[in-house]
Amino acid sequence: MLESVNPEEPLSRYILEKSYYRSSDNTVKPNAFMPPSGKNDVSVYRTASLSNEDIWQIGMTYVAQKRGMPLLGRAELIAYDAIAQGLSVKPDHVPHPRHANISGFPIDNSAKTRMIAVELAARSTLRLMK
Amino acid sequence: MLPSDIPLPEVSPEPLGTIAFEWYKAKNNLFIASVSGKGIVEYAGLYGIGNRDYGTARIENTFPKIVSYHIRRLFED
Repeated sequence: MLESVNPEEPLSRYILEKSYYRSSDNTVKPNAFMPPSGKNDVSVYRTASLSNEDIWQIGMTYVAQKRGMPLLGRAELIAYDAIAQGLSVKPDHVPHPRHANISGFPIDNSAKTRMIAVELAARSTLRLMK
Repeated sequence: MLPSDIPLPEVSPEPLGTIAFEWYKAKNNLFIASVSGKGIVEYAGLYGIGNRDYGTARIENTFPKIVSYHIRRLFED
């Protein structure tokens, strides 16, 4: 089981909605990193040493199928991108040993939360399903 | 309500139930204004890595000047 998160560790945030990316230039929209209402974290998976196929498989099995939606892509970033925004990456292990949460969004300051989401999206790379 | 010299944004729904208006040049150069039903606009702009601004403004009879300022800043050469 994976424990503490290395700042250089790659993370994937799975994308199930078209409004989470720009098809015009294949970039991630800030929407992809906005926490759900009432929450101060977003769900990610730790992907170090996994193959591309394995990363997609986790997204299909533990994210898309659970929500009954198609998997469209993933936003890739490293843990440091979140840490640099004052956030933390906490291993969660549920529903998968590689699940983690980017935590610490300031839910009492939604403008700042949006700014952080803009920064995370700008630093991430979009991978679309073939 | 939008000043005539400002380009039209892309509009999309957000997870929090608000509507986002995005002015986009590149992934590191964009401005987002999010409007709720409470007459408040929240904005966040990124003008290159490490150069950012965010805040809130109240929508009254005219488009908030601070928001216009930030959108124009995005499209300055």
